[in-house]
Amino acid sequence: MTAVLLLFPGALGTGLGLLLQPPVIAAIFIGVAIGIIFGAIPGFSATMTLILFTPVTIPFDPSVALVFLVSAYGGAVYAGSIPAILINTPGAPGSVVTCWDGYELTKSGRATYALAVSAVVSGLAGIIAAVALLATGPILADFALGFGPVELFLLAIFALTIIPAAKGQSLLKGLLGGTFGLLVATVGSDPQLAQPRAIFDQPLLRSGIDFVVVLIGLFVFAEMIFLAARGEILTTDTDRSDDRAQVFEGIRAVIARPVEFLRGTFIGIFIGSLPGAGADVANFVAYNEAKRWASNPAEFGKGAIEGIIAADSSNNATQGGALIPTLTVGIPGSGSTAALLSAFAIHGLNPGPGLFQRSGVLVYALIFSLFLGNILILVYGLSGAQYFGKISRIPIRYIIPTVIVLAIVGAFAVRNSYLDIFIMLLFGLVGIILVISDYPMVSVVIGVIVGGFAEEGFVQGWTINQGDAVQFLAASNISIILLILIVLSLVITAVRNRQSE
Amino acid sequence: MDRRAYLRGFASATAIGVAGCSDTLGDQSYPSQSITIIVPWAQGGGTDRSTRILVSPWKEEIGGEFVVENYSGGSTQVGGEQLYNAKPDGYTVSMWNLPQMNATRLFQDAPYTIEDFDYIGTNHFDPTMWFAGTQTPYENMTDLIDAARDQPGEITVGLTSAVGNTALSALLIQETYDVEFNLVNLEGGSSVRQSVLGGQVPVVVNQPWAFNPTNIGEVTPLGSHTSERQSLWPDTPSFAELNLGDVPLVDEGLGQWKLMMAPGGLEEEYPDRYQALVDSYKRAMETEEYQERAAEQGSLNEILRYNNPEDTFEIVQNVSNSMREFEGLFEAFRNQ
Repeated sequence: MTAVLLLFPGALGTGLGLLLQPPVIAAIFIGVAIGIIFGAIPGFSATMTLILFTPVTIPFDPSVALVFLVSAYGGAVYAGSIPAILINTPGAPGSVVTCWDGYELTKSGRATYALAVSAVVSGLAGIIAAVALLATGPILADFALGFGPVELFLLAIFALTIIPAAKGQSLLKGLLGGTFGLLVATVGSDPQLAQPRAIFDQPLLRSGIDFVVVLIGLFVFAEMIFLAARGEILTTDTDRSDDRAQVFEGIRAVIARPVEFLRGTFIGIFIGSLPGAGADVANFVAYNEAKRWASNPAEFGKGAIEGIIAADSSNNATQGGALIPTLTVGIPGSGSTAALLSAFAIHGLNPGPGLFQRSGVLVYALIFSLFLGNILILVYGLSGAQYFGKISRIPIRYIIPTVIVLAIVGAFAVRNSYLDIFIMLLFGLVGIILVISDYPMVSVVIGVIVGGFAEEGFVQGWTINQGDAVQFLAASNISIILLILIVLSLVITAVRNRQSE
Repeated sequence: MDRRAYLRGFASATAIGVAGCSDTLGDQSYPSQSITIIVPWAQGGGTDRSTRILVSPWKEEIGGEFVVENYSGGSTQVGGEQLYNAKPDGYTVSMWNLPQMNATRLFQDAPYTIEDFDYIGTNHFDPTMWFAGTQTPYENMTDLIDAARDQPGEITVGLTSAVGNTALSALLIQETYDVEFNLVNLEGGSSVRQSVLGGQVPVVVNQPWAFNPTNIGEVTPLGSHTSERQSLWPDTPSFAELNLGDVPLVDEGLGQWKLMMAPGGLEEEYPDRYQALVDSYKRAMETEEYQERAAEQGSLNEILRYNNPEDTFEIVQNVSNSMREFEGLFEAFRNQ
């Protein structure tokens, strides 16, 4: 702490003073709790929680209001993993891969253990990301600025290639699913000349199909249908160990895997800081890296605790990462931070160079609130784990209708549109067909998530480089590194597939 | 509790929740429910920020609540159609932009015309301005035009949209001086900002306030598409000062207006409500609170410009006419 104070004199101390005022402390406590509640609703992302609560903060003092929103943001990112673990439906796009191992653990009666791990890594990763924001913000912001259209396009392609690798499914089916997702993402206005494509006379479709709606359809709606077919959540209730014991086991599991935890955290901070990519992309990349370096890759997807550690450390670390370009250059690092920029405006904060000179006290208070907020995630998460865990024992006749109603409300709430409810239902059907035909649903989702910035990046990069393919691909050192990663990822998966045949 | 009973309970709880939100007090006192302000751009952008800081002072003046709803996409057409299809009952308004509104009509077959709306007043005028990265050799617009003459089609210029004021400014420069740029639509102020700061694009066109001048870091302003200097960048010459007066729309000033609008028919069907909106909007813009909040947002207060409904409509007509005049330029750009 003293070292940090030496680095940043002046405003830091007063920022801490502002943070310690009772209303600000209360804002953190309430903010994290509200974030957890809304984030845990299947289909309610952190972005939607922020948009919903921004108007509520208007009457409050800027310090209280913004600390509240930042705390709710962190809580919501964390809580997306709760339904992912318990009922196999991610609460938000950043928790899609948490399902893979989390739900397997739940099925064998170890939900509390998985939830405890999730809470510990989420809280700790958030704290490390806050340190990164404080210490390396300006450096990382410069690096993020280097991520232009070409680099974003290549990052999107990289994300697409890693999915079949991560899930251990057929490369061909994975790539086909990803391509279908990309196709869905082309609905709407084209990124260069704003001409409509496949909008079927629906004005709303000019802005495309929102990936949160697709996510709700594929993962929430379809999963509820399969849950109904399966009957119960718990398949083999073998682990009868006491819930409290599972919590302590979870804490020990994280302490024993510092490398896995730190790798996920740094991937999260880095991807979060890139403009356009947030927790939704980070959790896939982190999971893939965890599996690549793991001694037990075969366990992944069957309840490997390393899978949850990777997913949940990376998605919570994106918050600190995404705030870096948002605060230092005024460019939002993710959908959630774009919503935060809007709230900043209401409360008189104008992010960009010079923000720390103009509003240093408030900004430092915000960053410090991340520390307390993430400690609270740890506390709320660990103390709640044994109670949340009981949800998996609730009979499905209560769970399914509740979740389906929430899915419909969530789909509507994305853009206040009835059309989105039908799109959600349509993708629910698509999801059922995909699962039956053994296509990885997640490839489709990542296709839709990255499709928007992949197309924009490609078209803009292609135009900037005057249609010269070599110049386009070799636009920078970053783009060359990404190209190598893409080739490696494809080759490794193809070789592995051949071996397993 | 069996499943049906549970479902019934859950459904009625939801219904009570929903009913509790909408308030139906009747019609005698306008506004009796919250007024929706449609923003046809995403959260955090210039239109969004200038609208959200208006909500609190306007609320005081009109004595009712406001809800801001963002409908981004289609270069404002998605939000525009929301407004066009809304009931003209005084409970839906929109902070829209010129020339985006006219451009969506001309080039994207939007169903509305400028006659389909009632106008409450303008908010601010942000002129078009050219910026270069500091690694480039250009010091002003004349340098850039000379360089473009030497290397036709080589210099990349980033635009904020395909059919708005930034594209028009670039097309007019090309046409007037017979030069050619490599034009790329970066779609939105945020990516324009990122590309010039990150050095991916050497030159960009944007509105200075949207570009956040007090806050942008290292860029070289090249000139503004106006006759007078722009108040936010007093050291940057205007096109007229740079002897670029041959470019059309320099005298009129090419830029972006933001204005408050309502669905057409409001003035006729509910003249009282329309008048209440017009009067309270004007008063809200004059409040000290709004001026202060605007000042905090990169000196927006410097470019705030209120016009009454009649003058607003005249501005809309003028912009519409000049967009139509240069329709051919846009068509050629889009078909290249």
